[in-house]
Amino acid sequence: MHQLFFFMALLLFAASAGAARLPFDPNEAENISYENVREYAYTNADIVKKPVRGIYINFHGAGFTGTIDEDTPFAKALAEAGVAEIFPYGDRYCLMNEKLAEQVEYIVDIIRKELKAPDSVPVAFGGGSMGGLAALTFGVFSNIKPVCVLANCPNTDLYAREKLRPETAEQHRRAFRHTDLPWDTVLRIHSPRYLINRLPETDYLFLSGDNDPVPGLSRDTEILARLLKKRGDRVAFYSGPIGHCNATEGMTLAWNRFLYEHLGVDAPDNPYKSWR
Amino acid sequence: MKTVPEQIITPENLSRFCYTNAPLLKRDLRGVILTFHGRGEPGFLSHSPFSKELAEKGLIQIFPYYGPWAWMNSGAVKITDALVSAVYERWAGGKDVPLVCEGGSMGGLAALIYPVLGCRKPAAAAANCPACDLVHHFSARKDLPRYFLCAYGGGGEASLQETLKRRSPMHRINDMPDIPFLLVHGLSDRVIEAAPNSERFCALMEQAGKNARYVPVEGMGHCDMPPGVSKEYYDFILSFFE
Repeated sequence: MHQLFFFMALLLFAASAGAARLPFDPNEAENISYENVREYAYTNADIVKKPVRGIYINFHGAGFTGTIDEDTPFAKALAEAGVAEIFPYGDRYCLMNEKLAEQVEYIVDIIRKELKAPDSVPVAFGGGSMGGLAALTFGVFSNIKPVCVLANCPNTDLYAREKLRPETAEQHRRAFRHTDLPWDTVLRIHSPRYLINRLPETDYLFLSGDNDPVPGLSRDTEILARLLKKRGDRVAFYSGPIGHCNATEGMTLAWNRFLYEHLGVDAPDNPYKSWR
Repeated sequence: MKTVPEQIITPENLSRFCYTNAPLLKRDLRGVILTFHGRGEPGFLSHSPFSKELAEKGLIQIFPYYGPWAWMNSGAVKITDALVSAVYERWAGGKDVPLVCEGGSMGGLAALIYPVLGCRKPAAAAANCPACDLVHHFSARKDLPRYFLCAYGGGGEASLQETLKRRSPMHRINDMPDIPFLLVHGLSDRVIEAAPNSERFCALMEQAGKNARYVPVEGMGHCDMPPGVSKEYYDFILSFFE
């Protein structure tokens, strides 16, 4: 029992201590360097094979408050292929917006400079749920042009989501507290659904769960995929009898292969199972 | 010193540089409607039942032939100024009759930015599915960069980015005059999307204490106003003339 309490206390300590998060106070910017950038993002930059051949910016979902303190199999496999993974630690509900995009770019820039990765190195964006939204709209608000975007059960319509789930309003207000435009407008101008023409022209991969309990999510993902296809983008769409973000093995393999191919690197012989 | 368009355009040769129903006017001038066309318009219109009706009401319509890809560049502004000046010189009889500008798509942009760039402050402006944010619009579709380069790449201007901002209504909120603006936008518009254009523009205008009304229309595509909305749009324009 004592061991359990000790373990729980340790977990609590680990969750509360440590990483600074995005968005950071602009005054902090000049103090951020490669030496302390891991307070703001996980990266496999220390183990990546050089020269760096690709960069994968991996956005987390809503509610993520932890840190990644050990290189995961996913990160190690990417590193082996010469791909730097950058996993920004956002605020618990930090929905992608102009200011946040600028700060993510700042972090990416620090890591890129350290790795001497020129602008020509391809960059991919990916994420699930809120991270999927971020992967989609990061391309709208940032100057980085991705070679592909991967989104797993992404939130594509904050406006519709809030109408169906009023409990999300508080999360949204936390995320967009920097603006005082009319609320419905704020939700729409930060939702991929209403920004089709501004989403980067690139290749997209979507995963969608037929049994996703989040109301309307799978339908909205399908709509977005269809609109992008109509626009002329290449879109890969995988759906299956899964819930929210728990991809099947087949979907995970498809995701990983898509990512590796677009970064122009060879996939490992035995692709790790987790898409993270 | 007169600009080149002012040197060339006279009340007598107006029809070479714009469509106008001015020759149909049979009563004192009550007002002028400046209609800006969208991208790709080849020009040379003829009288329509609507323009005839306007003339009967004492309203002159000016439809500048300002270039299919003008995006309200400095040439387009000067041509429009010269046309407006020529019309007022010949038909206004010294009276300061109201001017209202309106347009759709690229013409909508023109209608929104002319009050900032033009020589005569309009009484109101109406726009149908306008491009409000040129900085983003530049790369919104594959075809757009070449149009903007044609419009603004002729030299004598600042960087393209600065030029886009100078002509972008979204970036000139503080310079917008204190006149009523009406923006109609189709929610199914895939050419120029409503939320990041008209919706955001009107929200920023309201935040700045200015008068801009946003009318989103379900099911409407690009500039394709249904009859009820079209009536509201034109009633707004006509309401500024006594």
